Amino acid sequence: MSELLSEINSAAFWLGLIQIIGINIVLSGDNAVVIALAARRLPEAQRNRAILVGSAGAIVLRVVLTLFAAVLLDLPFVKTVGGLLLLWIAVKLLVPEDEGDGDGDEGASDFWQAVRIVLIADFVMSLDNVIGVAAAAGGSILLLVLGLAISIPLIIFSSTLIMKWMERLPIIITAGGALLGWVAGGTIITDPLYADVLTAMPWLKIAFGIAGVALVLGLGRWLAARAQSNVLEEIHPEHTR
Amino acid sequence: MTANIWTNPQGQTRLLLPVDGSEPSLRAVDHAIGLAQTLSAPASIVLLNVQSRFSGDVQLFIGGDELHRYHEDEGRKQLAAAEARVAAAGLASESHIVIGAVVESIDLASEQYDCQAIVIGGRGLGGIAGVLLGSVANQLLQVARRPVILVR
Repeated sequence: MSELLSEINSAAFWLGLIQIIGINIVLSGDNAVVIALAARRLPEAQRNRAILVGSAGAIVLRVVLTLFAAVLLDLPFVKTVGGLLLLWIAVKLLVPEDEGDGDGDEGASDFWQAVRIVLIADFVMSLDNVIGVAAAAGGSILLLVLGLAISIPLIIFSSTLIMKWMERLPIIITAGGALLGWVAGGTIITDPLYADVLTAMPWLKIAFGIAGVALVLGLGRWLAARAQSNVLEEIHPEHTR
Repeated sequence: MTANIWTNPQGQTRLLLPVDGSEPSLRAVDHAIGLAQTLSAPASIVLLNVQSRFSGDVQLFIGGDELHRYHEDEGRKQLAAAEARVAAAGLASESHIVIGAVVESIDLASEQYDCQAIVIGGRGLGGIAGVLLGSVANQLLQVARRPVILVR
């Protein structure tokens, strides 16, 4: 118990908690969209129930996956791979993708179909959150569970609000990418593989974090500039009055 | 009516209004209506709603038609208040909903729909906050190829 209290009293704990919540918010936009869209065609009463049941399942799924990832991160080499993956996830966050024809389902027409889409989508799409959160928790199970418990309801109940903010203030996405870059750098260098090097040069942890931020922002900006389209994509036939 | 730099070749002034249904964007609509009524050239208002793209992951689970319907529904909702104000003022107008990056789409639309100026609402975050937060209006000021009127 006293161990728990001293953990909560440390600055590292609160910093970690803020990081976990931040990562979850920027990486959960997609999941929130799928949850909202999968159930859109159901009658209203069923729609809210499908969102609730689907989200509840998704929360359990994500907590289990994240705990699993956190345990894996203690093994040598896994942190290096996880950190590199995280760098890729961060860059992807900064570069918008093309919205093609889309080959997913045309929205669910019955309750269990909607729940199924929500669950499967969350399983596939939460991989990035799971890696990010597990890395930011740095081995603390308390931090991990608390972070998830706080951020998941936040996402489910305010998904549209968060999306609006990200649309109007692109700096949120940039900050999210920087945060992921920071966590990624720190994750790679704290791999047990490099334990000797890190004890000799403890400043490397901060250096790797800064390098992660610089890499993500630089690469992200460059790729985003290249991906810029110069064709206007109109979806709705013009109606003149 | 002779054409000049504030009119298109047909002698009309077309004002592009990016609208997202927010209070600042509606303030910009009011300013544009006033401006359009003051001009001696026939003026029309081009309302534009930009819907942000979803990531590729979303498309894996939700079909393209459904996504388009969602964007269209959202777009119509966000345009409704502005359309009502323009209609009440008795001005000619048209509405467009596009998908893409907000700032780039506004700039492209100003060229494609041949608008002589863009009228946009800012949240009034001036100074350091505005620079740090890099709002859509601020970014537009940097890249726009057509004149921009920023309404605070």
